[in-house]
Amino acid sequence: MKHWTEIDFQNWLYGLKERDPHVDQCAECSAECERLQAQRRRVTAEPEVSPEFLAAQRRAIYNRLDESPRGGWHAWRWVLSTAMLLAIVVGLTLPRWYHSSPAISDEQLFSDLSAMEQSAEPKAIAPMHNLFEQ
Amino acid sequence: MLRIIVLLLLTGATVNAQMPKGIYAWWGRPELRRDLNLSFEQQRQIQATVRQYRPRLLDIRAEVERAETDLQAEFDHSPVDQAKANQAIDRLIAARSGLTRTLSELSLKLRVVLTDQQWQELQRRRPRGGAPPDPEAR
Repeated sequence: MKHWTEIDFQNWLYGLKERDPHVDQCAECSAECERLQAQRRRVTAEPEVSPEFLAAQRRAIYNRLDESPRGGWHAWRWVLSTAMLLAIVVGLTLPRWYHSSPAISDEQLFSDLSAMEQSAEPKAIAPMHNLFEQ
Repeated sequence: MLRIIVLLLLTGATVNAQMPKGIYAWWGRPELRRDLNLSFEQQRQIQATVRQYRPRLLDIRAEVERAETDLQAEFDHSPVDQAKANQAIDRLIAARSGLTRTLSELSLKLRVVLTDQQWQELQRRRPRGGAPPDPEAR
């Protein structure tokens, strides 16, 4: 019998072909079967995962889950800080703006000042004029 | 008594020497702004200058009023405390002096904003007897 072809080995490897007497008797084909089978086991074998690794992975997941609410708080913290800062700025600025707005018009202010400046004497000594006039 | 006479003379002299006499808010009158032909930049400078002096003038007005009230209180007090009354007179003189100085400084700053022609026109429009002109009068 002639040796198995590559297609024969692949079909055998994936269960599509039975071993035949040639393979059992042919050292070359038998060795190729062993090599391919070992390679497939190695490739398809699940990786070894230690319990410690899995436990660490679980802890990491739980930590991430616990951090979610805190992440929200972090976001709100900035919003609250900005709002408080804004409130302080408005609180400091508004009274100043209110006080800086003219309480009286220029017309009234300068009318008062002009009257003050043109009054020749203090109000308190006005009665003294009577002494000089008499 | 001598101090009061000096105060009378000083205040009278101060009033007569003040420049300009009887300041009023002419910059706020549209007809004057128009007649003086104030440019936008001149109006901006005038407004900025007045705004700069306004807080000081408000304080001075309060100081003069307070000094007047204090002096009146000393005159009305029985018996009169001459030392306190003299201090009140000094405070009133200082407040009035500050008023004259500040108004004169403000007037000077406004004057340099105006051209000679505008200044002459403003003097021509200056009210007689210290009373502000009637806004309706042209």
